Amino acid sequence: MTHYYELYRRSSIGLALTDSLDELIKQDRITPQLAMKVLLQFDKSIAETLEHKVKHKATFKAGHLHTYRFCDEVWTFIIKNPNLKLEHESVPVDKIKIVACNSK
Amino acid sequence: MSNSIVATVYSGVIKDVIENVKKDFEDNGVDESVLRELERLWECKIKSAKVAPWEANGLVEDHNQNNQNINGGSSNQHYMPMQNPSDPGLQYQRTEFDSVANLPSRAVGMHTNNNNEAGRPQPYIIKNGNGNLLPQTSPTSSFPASSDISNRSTPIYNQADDQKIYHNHQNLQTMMGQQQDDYGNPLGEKLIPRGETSTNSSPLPEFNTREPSFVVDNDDINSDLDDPDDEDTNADGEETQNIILCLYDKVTRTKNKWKCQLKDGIMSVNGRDYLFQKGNGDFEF
Repeated sequence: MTHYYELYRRSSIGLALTDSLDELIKQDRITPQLAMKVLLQFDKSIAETLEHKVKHKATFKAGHLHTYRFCDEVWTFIIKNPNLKLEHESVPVDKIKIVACNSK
Repeated sequence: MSNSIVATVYSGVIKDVIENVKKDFEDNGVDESVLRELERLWECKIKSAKVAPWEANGLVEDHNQNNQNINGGSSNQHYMPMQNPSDPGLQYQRTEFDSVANLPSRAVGMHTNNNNEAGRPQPYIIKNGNGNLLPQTSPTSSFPASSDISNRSTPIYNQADDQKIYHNHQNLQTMMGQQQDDYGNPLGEKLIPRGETSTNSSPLPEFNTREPSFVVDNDDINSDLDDPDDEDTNADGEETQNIILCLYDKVTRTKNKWKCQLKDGIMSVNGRDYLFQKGNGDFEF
């Protein structure tokens, strides 16, 4: 895969990286082009890490689907009151948004 | 527990990215100290976000065995730039916008309000919006003003064009508001004489002194007919919104029962991060 999804840039780790790069750009210590390269590398690293290094499973059940959207091969769901079940814990949430890109 | 491994995974990602961009930094003639600075800033921000139980000691030892003194000394310094993370960011967005649109300084003040309200996605829209709108809008013909003016004053402005531009993109509406101010301020001066020739000269001074409000009773965007629910959904603070970013294998629906097979996801829930390799969802619409 030469091109990786940029959606993980919206995660906490992605936002932290973007903020750090923005600060360095403001201080004129790196160019925006270099920052782009870093972000592209981040897209690749995070995608490969999630694919190979993480083994956990999660389930979300019985929520009420409030909104669904499918555009440009991206699904966006807004779920109300789902029950998130992770490996060893269950997390109740009142609202959650799922953004999913095509895995193929 | 997928939260306990988050710290390890994130450290791994940081190390991996830094290693791989080292060459890019060298090619660009940027000193390695800047790379180390990026790494420190990045780690600092993730740790302070408290999305996972972080073992700070383990992390420090991994990366900076030789530079622990520097780390200890510089960690305080990092809080200084971090205290104003939003301001430089906002200014960065603002100056970018200014340079593209050539705005008068007065309009910048108005930008602050809009930027604060809109939150993070706004920058992307601003960039695209400028790219889209600048060719389309010429200052004279497509001066939409506020709907009040276009309704009441003489038809100098082409209302059909205005509405077309309004309906282009809902998010651009806020942008339009900004741009109208920006284009509107210099133009307003030109148009006041014209406005005086029309029967109703009061709308124009109104427009100049107050921020344009687009709450009107016709079908324009942001009219009272809009569903308030949608706005609430979009206006949620991005930081606190529980969100899952992942890939989907399969999404199916039977009547109102939806089933999703997801994978490779990062979940941010209740302020903490979780990771999963595979996920299943069952919802009812």
